[in-house]
Amino acid sequence: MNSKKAALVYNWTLTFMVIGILAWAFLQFGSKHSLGSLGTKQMTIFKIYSMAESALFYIDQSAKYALQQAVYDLAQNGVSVSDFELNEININLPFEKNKCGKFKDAYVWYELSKGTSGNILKNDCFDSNPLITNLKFTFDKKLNDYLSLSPYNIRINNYDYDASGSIEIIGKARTPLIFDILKDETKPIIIKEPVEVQVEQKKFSDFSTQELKMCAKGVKCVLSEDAFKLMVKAQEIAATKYKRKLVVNSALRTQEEQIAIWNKFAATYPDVTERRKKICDPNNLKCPHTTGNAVDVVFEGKTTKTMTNNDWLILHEIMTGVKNDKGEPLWVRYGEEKRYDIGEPWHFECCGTDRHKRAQAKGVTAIV
Amino acid sequence: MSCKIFHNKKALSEFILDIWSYIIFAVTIFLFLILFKLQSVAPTKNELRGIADIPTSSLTLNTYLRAPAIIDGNEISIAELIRLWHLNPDKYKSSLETASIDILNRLEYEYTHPQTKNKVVRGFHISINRQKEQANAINPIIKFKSKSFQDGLCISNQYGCINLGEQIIPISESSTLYIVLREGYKAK
Repeated sequence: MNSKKAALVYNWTLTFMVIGILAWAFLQFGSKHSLGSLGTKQMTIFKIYSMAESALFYIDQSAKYALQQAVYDLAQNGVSVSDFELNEININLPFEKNKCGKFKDAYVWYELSKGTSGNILKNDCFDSNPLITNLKFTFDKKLNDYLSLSPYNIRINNYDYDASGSIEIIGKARTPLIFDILKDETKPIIIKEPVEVQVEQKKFSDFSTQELKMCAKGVKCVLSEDAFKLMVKAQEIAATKYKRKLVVNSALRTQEEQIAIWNKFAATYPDVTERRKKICDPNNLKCPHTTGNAVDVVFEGKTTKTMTNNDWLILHEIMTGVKNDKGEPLWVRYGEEKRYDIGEPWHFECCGTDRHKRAQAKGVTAIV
Repeated sequence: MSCKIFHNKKALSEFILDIWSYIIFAVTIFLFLILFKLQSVAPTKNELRGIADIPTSSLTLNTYLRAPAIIDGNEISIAELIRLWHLNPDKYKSSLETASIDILNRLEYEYTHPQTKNKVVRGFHISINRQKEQANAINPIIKFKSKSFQDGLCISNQYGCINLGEQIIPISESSTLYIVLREGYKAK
């Protein structure tokens, strides 16, 4: 009798469960959006694959043109690197300078000097040894220029080069191309607040991937919180008053990065005093970029090479246009007032760096 | 008779309950069978349209851009020829046109529609634009099409012809071009 009762309960329970499951299934299949289009995720993977192929094609073509241009430029400059290119921005590889320098804006290929006995000595300035070093350096710079124009998120300064044969350069990427399969790349990205990161107990803002697009492609942009806020203000001034857009080429550098840059210039400037004029010595621990309160900035679509004097002037006005309540500029430039050939017209500091304090004490907007 | 099977009233009521559960179970299954059948008469169309062509078309565009062309006695790719044309339009326009149309004609293929079983020839349209526009939009500086591409019969969605293949190519350190491939068809 008891087992019969249990069977009765079982029958009804089963019946109600089946009704419930079927009703749920009916509602699920009936819903328009329950399944979505079949194969969407698979198609997304295919699309991302195509996008990666496109990026690789872009890199291939860029490398081809960059090499042609690098060879041409080196031939023009007598296998040397142009002086104009010697700044800390985008320096990724070592290079060597021309032994004899320039005469009337042309590189000297050989010098004549008088010997002790009055005879004329021919001193050859052309040295083929740095050819490969300088070719790699120039090629890398050109390639970076091309890659920074690409619509894909291709990292710059990301290749190690091997030169072989007559002129063949093989670049090996240090980090791979990354595409987010789950994120629809074609959809607009929602602007996010900058990510806060803690470095040495200070608050920093990483805006590398932010949709403000204030950071140059392939560059890691981190600034102190205060500097970031001032940079956003400068961007607002640029947009509203001058219809321009600022792009940060370099921001916070770690001590290791500054040491690496310092070391990279060792071959070019073996004399430390001369090197200090060009690059901040990481041993003094006061390098502006390592504080997160310094930026190297240009206008969107321009490089330090293509910025005109007028551009530098406008950039200076924009950056120094960010002021405090007392009307003091909160950004100061590395250079001299109304001069853009001294220092670095793209380099600005704020928030109590050594240069910033000196400029405020003197009441100027630019200081060496 | 009933007295033989059911010793008392309680047993009879349990039997009836049992039968009821079987009947309800069977009726439920039958009812849902009808409901599912009715639902399947008008299915929601969840097929992928147009987008399914993107991977192959991107490959076709890449093939086109990598295809060789002989210019001034040298073998260069179409991508390089586009760059040369952009730098010197007068000199390279006809070479680019001839080489492009020739390659696009050779890339055409026969296509049988999976549902209608109609046989068509798929043709291509290439446009070279200064920059990427809004989705599906193009603003060509120059365009070429293969012999089977018909403007009104392109692969499209509700917004118009789909840009099935897209590629940005570098021109100089400060400029790029946006190449778009579209596909159309023509009855065989």
